[in-house]
This record gives sequence, structure tokens and C-alpha cells, in this order.
Amino acid sequence: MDKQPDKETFLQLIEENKRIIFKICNSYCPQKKDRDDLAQEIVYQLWKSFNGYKTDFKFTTWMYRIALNVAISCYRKEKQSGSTISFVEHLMNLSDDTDTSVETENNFKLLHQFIAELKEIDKSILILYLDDKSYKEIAEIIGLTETNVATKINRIKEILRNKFSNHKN
Amino acid sequence: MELRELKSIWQAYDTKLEKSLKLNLHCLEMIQSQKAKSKLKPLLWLRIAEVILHSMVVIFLADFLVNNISMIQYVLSAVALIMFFAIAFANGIKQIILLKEIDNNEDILTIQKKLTLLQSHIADYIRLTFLCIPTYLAYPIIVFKVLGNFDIVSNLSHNWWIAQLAFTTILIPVCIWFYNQVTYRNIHKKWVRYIIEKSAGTRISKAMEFVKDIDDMKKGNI
Repeated sequence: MDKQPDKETFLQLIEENKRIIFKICNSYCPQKKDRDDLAQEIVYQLWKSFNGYKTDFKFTTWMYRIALNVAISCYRKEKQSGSTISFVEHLMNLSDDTDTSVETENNFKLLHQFIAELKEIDKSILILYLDDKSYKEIAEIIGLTETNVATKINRIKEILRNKFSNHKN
Repeated sequence: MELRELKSIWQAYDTKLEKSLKLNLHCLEMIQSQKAKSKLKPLLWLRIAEVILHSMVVIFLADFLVNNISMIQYVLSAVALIMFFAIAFANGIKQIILLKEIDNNEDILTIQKKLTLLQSHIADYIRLTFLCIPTYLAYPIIVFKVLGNFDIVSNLSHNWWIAQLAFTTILIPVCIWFYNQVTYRNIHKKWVRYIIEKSAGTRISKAMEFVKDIDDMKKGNI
């Protein structure tokens, strides 16, 4: 029989790393409703797999693996079937009490636009790269060699450079 | 804007989330109380049903073969169909193993490849259709024998059978070639994509393209 995972530890780890889930949902789902479904599905899958988490990996490495896998799988479905579970309440809420300038908000939008235009696996690599993950960690999460990660990141940089120059023009 | 700037925007975004992102604890607890449901379970039952069906056909054909072992036309027909259904059976077993191997703790490319191969299982049947073509004569021979104990081989002209056998002999290498070609590894070829899209739809051809991209990525080609 499966051991019951520790609820409190899980809640604490999710609380500490909630930004990862939000950033992934925002990068893979342009629609707010789909983002809510995806966030719930990610947390559900994390909870379901929590027993299988091996401490020889960093928690965030494991979390990225599962969250990105769920996001890519949902993104690849032509018709959104919604989450396995669905609640009326929102799992994550973003309050508007922070002072962010219009310019910063526009930058956030532009950044998400650039990410949205990338292929599904490239999106994952870019998110990990922007989150300051080492090539070794990106390789472990994605399943590539470090050399291939470096090559891939160079190609993504090239794609982004072209997008930047098109945007300026 | 350069990539460096992009990274600093991302970090600013992270800081904003740190301050303003709130988790709904009630919702989180509700998620924890959900019973583990696997989306893959219905697929597993479907594949098991397929495997059972194919094994029943193989057993039936083997029985037919044993009962008609002295007659070459039935032996050849039964062997041809047994080979075809054995491949279908093996494909089903491969899918069940794939389903059993799916583990959320694996890396992204490994899981995505497995999931996409499961989604595009219909492509295995398209490939099998090619292998089925040279066995077209086996069906009437066996069906007439089983249903009416009627031997169509001795009731049709000798020359007609020779012509059919010659045609089948030519078809075998051609169909094996098609069987080997119509895989996700060749989805970049226009005619392979055309066959997949016309028979299984663009969703399956996209899925196959994704699996090829994963393989290429692992080799460092893209």
C-alpha cells in the first residue's frame, strides 16, 4: 500500500515555489481560465507524484519536471479538456497592490509574447534559463546532454535576437 | 532589447510575483483530498482489449493451421495472417509496456516521447495496413473454408492462381518497404506526411513530427 504523503510538507514546498507554477502557467496558457485549470492540474499531479520524489534531486528540479510535463501535455492537446479536477475557486490569485510602472507591465507583456511564440520544448528551456538554472540542471530536467542544452540555448538566443530586431523595426 | 534585458525583466516579474501571488489554501487542501485518478487507465484497458482480441485471432488461426496442415493453400494463408496478427499483438504489448513505464519523475523529453507515441498508436495500424495488402488472398481462402467448407483454390483456374501469386510476390517487398517508411522518423517526407494526414488527420502527423523533433533534439540536430 502507498505511504500517505506528508500534507504539511507538501503545502509548505508548494507555498515556497508557487512562483514556478504561476510562471509556467502564464507561459503556456494565454487564456486566464486555462491558466487556472493548468495550475490546478500541475498541483494535483505534483501531489499525486509526491511519494515518488527522491531527495537526491533538488525539489525544484523535480517540480519543474512535473510542472513542465503537465504544461506541455495540456498545451499539445488541440481541444482543452480542462483539468482532472476543477474548482470554482482560483488556486492562485495575483493581487494588484504592487507598484509596477506601465513600462514594466509592457515589458512583462512583451516577454510573454516572445515566450508564447516559441516551440513547446524551447519554451521550457527558456523558462529554466531565465530562472538562472545551470546547464547541468536544465539537462536533468529536459533530458538532454549539457552540450545539447548549450546548443539549444544559443539557437533560442538567435531566434529571440531576430524577434527583438523585428520588434524594434 | 537583448537577452540580458529579458533576464532582468524576468527577475523583476519574479519579484512582483513574490510580493503579490497568493495561494488559495482551501483550494490546495481540496486538491490534496482528491482521489488519484489516472487519465491513462482507460487507454490501458483499451490496449489490453486489443491484445486479447489479436491473441484470440492468432489462436483461432493456429488451430485452423493444425487442422489443415496437409493442404498447402491453407497453411500459407494461415501463416500469412498469423504473422500479420502477431505483429498487431506485439504492437499492443509494446503500448502496454509504454503505458506501464510512464513515470512522472522522468525527464521531460522521455515522458513526452512516450505520451506522444501512445497518442499516435493509430499510425501503427496505418503501417500494418500496408503489410496486410499482400495477404488479401488469405482472407477469402480461409473464410470460405471455415464458413462453407468450400475450397476456392481448387474451384478457380490454375492460371488465375499463378497470376495472383506472382502479383502477391511482387507486392510483398513493396509493402514491407512502405511499412518501414511510414514512421515518425520519415514524417519530414511529403508523401509520408500526406498518407498520415489523409488517413489519421493532422493531429497525428503533428504528434509524429513532435516525436521526430525530440529524437533530433537528443541527437543535437535542432
